[in-house]
This record gives sequence, structure tokens and C-alpha cells, in this order.
Amino acid sequence: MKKLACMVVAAVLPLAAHAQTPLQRWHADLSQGYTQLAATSARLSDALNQYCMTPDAAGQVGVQEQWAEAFMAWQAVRFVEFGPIEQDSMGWQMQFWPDKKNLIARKSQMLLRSETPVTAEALANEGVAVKGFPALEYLLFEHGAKQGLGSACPVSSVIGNQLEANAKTLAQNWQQFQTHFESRDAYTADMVKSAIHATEIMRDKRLGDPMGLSGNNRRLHFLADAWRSEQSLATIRATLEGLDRYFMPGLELVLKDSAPELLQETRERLTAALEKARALPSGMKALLNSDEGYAQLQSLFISMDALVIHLNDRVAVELGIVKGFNSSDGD
Amino acid sequence: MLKRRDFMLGMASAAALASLSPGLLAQTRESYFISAANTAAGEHRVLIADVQGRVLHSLEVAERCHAGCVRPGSEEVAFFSRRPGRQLNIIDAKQGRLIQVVSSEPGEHFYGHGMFSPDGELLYATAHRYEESEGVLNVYAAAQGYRQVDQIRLGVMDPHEVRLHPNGRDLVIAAGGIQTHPDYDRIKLNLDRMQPALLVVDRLTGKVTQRHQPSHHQLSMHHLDISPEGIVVAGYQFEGPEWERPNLIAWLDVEKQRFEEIRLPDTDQQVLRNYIASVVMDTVTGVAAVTAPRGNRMVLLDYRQRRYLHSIELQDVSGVLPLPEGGFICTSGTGGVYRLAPGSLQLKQLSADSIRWDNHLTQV
Repeated sequence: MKKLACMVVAAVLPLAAHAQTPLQRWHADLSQGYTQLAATSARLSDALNQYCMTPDAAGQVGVQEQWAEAFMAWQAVRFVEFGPIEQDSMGWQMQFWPDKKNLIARKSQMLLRSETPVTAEALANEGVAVKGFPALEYLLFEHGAKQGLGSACPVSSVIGNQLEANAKTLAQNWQQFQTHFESRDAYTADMVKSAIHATEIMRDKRLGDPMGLSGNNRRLHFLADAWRSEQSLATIRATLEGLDRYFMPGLELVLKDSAPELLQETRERLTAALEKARALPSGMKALLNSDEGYAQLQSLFISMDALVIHLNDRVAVELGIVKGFNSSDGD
Repeated sequence: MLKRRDFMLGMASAAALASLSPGLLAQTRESYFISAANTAAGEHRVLIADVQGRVLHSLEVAERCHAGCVRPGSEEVAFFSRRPGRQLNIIDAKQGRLIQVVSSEPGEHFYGHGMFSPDGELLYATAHRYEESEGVLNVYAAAQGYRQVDQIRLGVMDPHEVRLHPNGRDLVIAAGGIQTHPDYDRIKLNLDRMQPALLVVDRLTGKVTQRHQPSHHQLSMHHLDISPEGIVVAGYQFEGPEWERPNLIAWLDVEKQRFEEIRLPDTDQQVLRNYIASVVMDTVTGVAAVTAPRGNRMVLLDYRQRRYLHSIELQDVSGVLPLPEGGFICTSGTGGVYRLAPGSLQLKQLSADSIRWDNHLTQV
């Protein structure tokens, strides 16, 4: 798998450089993103399989590091909401979030207590709460810490294998999607809408909710994603970096001739948010618990808010993009 | 709407129906419609408007609603929360007042649609027993404060829109086959194993008498309408790869048990984005209107000939309703209300607002 992933990376790198249209550029850039996700997920799966054969402290640390690497690769492409990610609810299989009912822990514990072996087939019949990165995060960072080395094996290994297979399918389907994607102008609007929505989710849910900005004014670190691994802010950083790496180059081709000043301002807004995020630690909990830390989060929030407003009020308006009500959330 | 008059007339014979002039009947009714909507601030409403698009009543509701149905012989409208909502709102359409809220039983939620018996005594609502992942029709006695009196198990997942056959006995149900669970909000849990179906159910015995399957197992079916002749048109929502182009329209002659699919021209297949939101039939002109908000299109079909006519562009169009005199009124999630005269290719905008008109319109 790793070899395959490397070959795909090698194949797509020149494409990005030679892409002519915005859609070609976006496809090529995201090919790299999905390939990176497939490669890191494969490494995570390998590490889990090895760890579960001979669990030891070094192996546990190694697995946790591989999990974080793969999870950040996912955060970088998480903003894409259309195409192969919609198949088989793949986005949810990658990351079930938010989890207000603590289903991830509850369902994972049920799986660990299963009297029959947890096979790939058995996992396929389970809900999305026990698939993907958050379930592994629970098993590796919370359950493993409490119950001891190897206590989540072999369930964690089965989930890791499934994650690897899903990431590989996603990367392959993105390639299959190419001709269709590049031949339809409507995907320009879809891509911009995806980026805007992802930024709104980041501001309101991933950052604003744990900061207590959306209702009860309570600071609750477990409303953020990746709180168990203390990576909540690292995920926001990774998504902003993903937007910078995989979204901005295509947008530049859209705007560079028609609205160069708007493009420059977009770059500046994203860079400002990214710099704020890079200056913060990976976890959010400590910052939520001190006034100084909270002020830093507020500063990031303000930058994200400015980015959201800019994308909605300037970029979307310039491109004539309207977010539909029925088209985006119908039944 | 001719079909609504049909069940108001109960078991009137087809011959008697045929003798009635649609225009004459139309004059006997004032024309209003009811629809779910969101305000620009995201608050959930049920709106009653006239056919000029002027909102007469705006009712606050706790959950985002989906569709309603009129109780024959009364001013009551049953209006349902959308999946996984648990509220059945009983509205007095004349006074513009919410008069009762019925909650689904524990372990159940509504799918957003229902239909009354011709005499207005019984209300049939599609619902979900979610721990068993089973779709059901809940039966409520309207005169008993909408007490639940029965439940029909359908043997499918995700039953959605239900319509009454003109024989007054059969119910036709579009079932999407998608597994969900409120724990997971609206996440679709079984897209690789879906089993959508178009069902005909004898409401008196509770037996499923016909079950028709789309040409692909990922062609979810949520919306349909039925003509006075018993012709059903249903729309699909494809859950497979968006670069594939499956058929999007199902057609059923209930009496002959003849099930077919209508292939649209490639140009429409390309733009509709594999998603149909609403289906209604104009019995005056024999035209079915099918809305596709992701493709910003309304497609018109000759439902008797199973033939494509043309499509009309309208951003985020979803709600659509046939007018008594023929033609359609339709609404957009971007706030506009429009009219399409019979035979016309041009929409006339009647009103514009910041209202997010939701999925369906129902004449009241």
C-alpha cells in the first residue's frame, strides 16, 4: 500500500504544476491531499497491526504518533464536501463528530466487550461512531491509558485496517471523479461553498462551541474535536493549512485576472488566521482554563470570523455563488 | 387540486368525477397554500400564503417541518416535522393557528409526510421505529384528538411520502431504503445496502399489495404524486457516485401494476445532479412537475404519455403545487414565489422575500 501511495503521489505532482483550469488545479492538488491521507492511514494501520502483535510502551507512542499524522492529513482535506467523500457516508466514516451523546466511547466499549470476534465484516455492520479516527483516538488515548497496553487490541487493529481501506478507496475514487469534475463548471461554486462551509464550521463549532460562544457561555473542551488526544487546535491548524495548500491555488486561477485585489485580500485573511493558529499549542483545554489562554482563542476566533465574512460577503458575491436552502439540506 | 377534490368526494365514481369541470370546482375554493420555511435567521416556521405569494400566517414551530396534508371536510392541516423530528402539528388553516402538537411515541420519529382517509377520520403518517430500523405507517384517529389507533408495518426502511389512490383504499408510498438513527442525526448508515421501493398498501387490511424496485439499489425514492387515473410519478435521489447518470423518474400504473422509469434527455441528466425534491401532477393539463434544487431546474413531463416536455431554470426550486386552473406555483429556497401558466416556458415571479421556502407546498 505504501508503495502504491508513493507511486500515486509521484504521478500527481507534475499534474498540479501543469494544471490549466481552476478545476484541473483543484483536482490535482486534492489528489495529493487524498493520496497523503491514504499513505498515512496505511502507516497507521501497519503500526496498529504490529503493536497489537507485541504491545509495548514504545509501540503505543508510535501508534499514537501515526494516528495524529493520519488524522491531520484528513483534516487537510476535510473541507471537501462533495464527490467521493459523499459515497457510503465516507466523511462520517472518517470522522464522526460532533459526538454529544458520547457514542464513540459507549459503542467502542460495547465492541470491546463483544463475545464474538470483531472482524472486518462485523465492523462493517456497526455505526459510524466506531469507525475512523475518533474511535481509534478513544481506544489509543483514553481506553489504552486506563486499561493498559494492548487492551484495545485487536479491535483497534480492525478499525485501523478499515480506515486504511476507506482512505485508499477515497483516493482511487477521486481519480475516477476527475473527468466528471473537470468538465462541469458548477464544481467551481461547489468548491468555494465547501471551503466557506468548512470555515464556518471551524469558527462556530470546532472553536466557538468549546469556547462557550454559542449558547450557555460554558467553556467545554470536550465539545472540540480530538480533545482526547489534546489535538483540538492542531486539527484547526491542519484544516487551515489544507485550505491554503489545496483550495487557494485553484481559487487563485479563478480570481487572478478578474479580481486580483480580492485574491490578495483572501490570501491575507487566510494567512492571518493560519498564523494565529500556528502560534497556539495543539490542545485547547489549558487555554480554555486561563484568561490569557482564552484571549488567545478569542484572537484566533476573530481572525476566523474575518475570514468567513470575507469569503461570504466578498468572494462568493464576486463569483455569484448563492448557498441554496433546499439544494444543501433537503430530504 | 383535482386529486384533493377526489378524496374530499370520498368514493365518488370516476364517471361522476369526469363530469365535473375543474374550472368550475376551482371557483368554489379560495386558493392558498401552506409550506414549511425557515426565516433568514434560521427559525422554523409553517407559512400560509395566497397564490400571489403573500404570506398571511406565519406559525412558529419547534422543529423544522417538511410537508402537510389537509383533513377532508375541515380546515385542519396535519403538518409533520422532518426526519428525525417527532412532532405532528395540527393547524387550523383558516384561522392560521397551531391548535395541537402530537409527539411520536418513544422510539419513533416522523419522516415528514402523511395522508388522511377520504372521510377525514384517519390520518396515516410515515414513521420510523428506529431501534428496529423499521418503517411504519402510524394511524391516528383525528376525531379522538389524534390518538394513535394502529400501526402498519411496511417491511421497508425510510418510507417517506404517502399519497392516497383515487380508489380511496390504497396508499402509495415512496420508500428511500436509507437507514438512519436519531443518535446519528441525519447520517445515512447503509448506503451500500439500501433497498428502496415503491409500495402500494391496502389501508384497510394493512397489507402491502405491490412492491416495485428502482433499477439501481441506490436510487432512493422519497417523493411522488398520483393522478385521478391512478398513475404515479415518483422522483429519485441517487446515493451512488455523482458522476453516474441513472434514471431519476419512476412511473407506475397502479391498476395494471406496470412500473417503468422515464429517461430524461442527456442535457437534463447532466444538470439535475441526481436529486429530485418534489413531484406534483397537474390533472388539468396532464403535466407532472418535478423539482431538482441541486440542478436549479423544474422538469415538466407528460405523465400520461411518459414523455419529457422541457425543463425550466430556477435557483433552489423545490416546492411546487398545481393550480386549480392548470399550471403551477413554485417556490425557491432563495425566497421567491413563481407561477407557471399552462403551456408556458416562462416563470412569472409573484413575490420575493428572505424566506427560505422548504421542500413542499400543499393547497389549503
